[in-house]
Amino acid sequence: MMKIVQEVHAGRKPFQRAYVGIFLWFTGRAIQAAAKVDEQIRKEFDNLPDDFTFSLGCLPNGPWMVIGKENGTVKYLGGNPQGRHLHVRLAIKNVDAAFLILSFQESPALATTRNRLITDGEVPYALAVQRVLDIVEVYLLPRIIASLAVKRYPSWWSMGRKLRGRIGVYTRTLLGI
Amino acid sequence: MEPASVFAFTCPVKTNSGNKALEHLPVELANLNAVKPIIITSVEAVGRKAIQTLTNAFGDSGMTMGLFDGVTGTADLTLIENLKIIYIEKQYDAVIALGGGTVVDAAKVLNLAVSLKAADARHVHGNFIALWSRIQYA
Repeated sequence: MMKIVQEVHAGRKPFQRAYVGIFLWFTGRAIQAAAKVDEQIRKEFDNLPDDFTFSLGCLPNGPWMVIGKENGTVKYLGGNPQGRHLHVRLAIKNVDAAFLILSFQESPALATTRNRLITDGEVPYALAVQRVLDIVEVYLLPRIIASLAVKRYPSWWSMGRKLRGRIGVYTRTLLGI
Repeated sequence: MEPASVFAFTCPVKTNSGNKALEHLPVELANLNAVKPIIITSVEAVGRKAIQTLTNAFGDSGMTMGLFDGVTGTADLTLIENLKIIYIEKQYDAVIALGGGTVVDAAKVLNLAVSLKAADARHVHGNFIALWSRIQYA
């Protein structure tokens, strides 16, 4: 009688998982770098609590990135949010949705309307994190791709800010400083 | 058979539709504290591809599911009783119906059988019919 019901184990999605993991790792390091390079990001973090920590990742089993302030400095704290006190947790419901968003096939605004994102924490903090992520994406990505990732591309930025910012963010991200 | 003196059955509906909406299932189930669902379907009615699409949607969730794909056009209560025993023994905690008609009917009655902890699915049938009659003629 037992044989009429088969046991099926959920498979794996290694490609999507690896892509999302690498993207979050790089973006985490870029946020740490951009907090030292960009005045606007520095101000955003200055307005947040001294021990502010947030995570961004996908449910149910990750990957995640954790960013926090330590002694006034913004740091990428790795990919394990376990045991940390998080002020804001931004979660994407599954790795497929995370892949769609982080490969720019779907904008965060569209993903929100499709009920793919969960925000756990204070909304003002989450909005500050979103503003930081937008600025970092503008630095990291060429305009044509960044326009897909942010709601409004900051065309009013001076060329000097973009150029200096990009060089600074990429150099510090790759060196991990 | 007399239905239970106090009976409440709540069935709130949440609709998720669109691109990759099926992939939300593990999180939606987790919100209901369910981690081990059983899928009730008919391979003849929906085809293997639809079943594969559904099971693939659970990818990377680490879940284990039960799959019963043998619902026929004339599902009877003996089948429901067998499914109920398996459901309890294997400790499933949610029912997913893939398909329409008999499949959904079987899943609903299975849900009632395990939720009401009926000794026999045929008793659920009796309760359900009696209750349904009472609602209709109240």
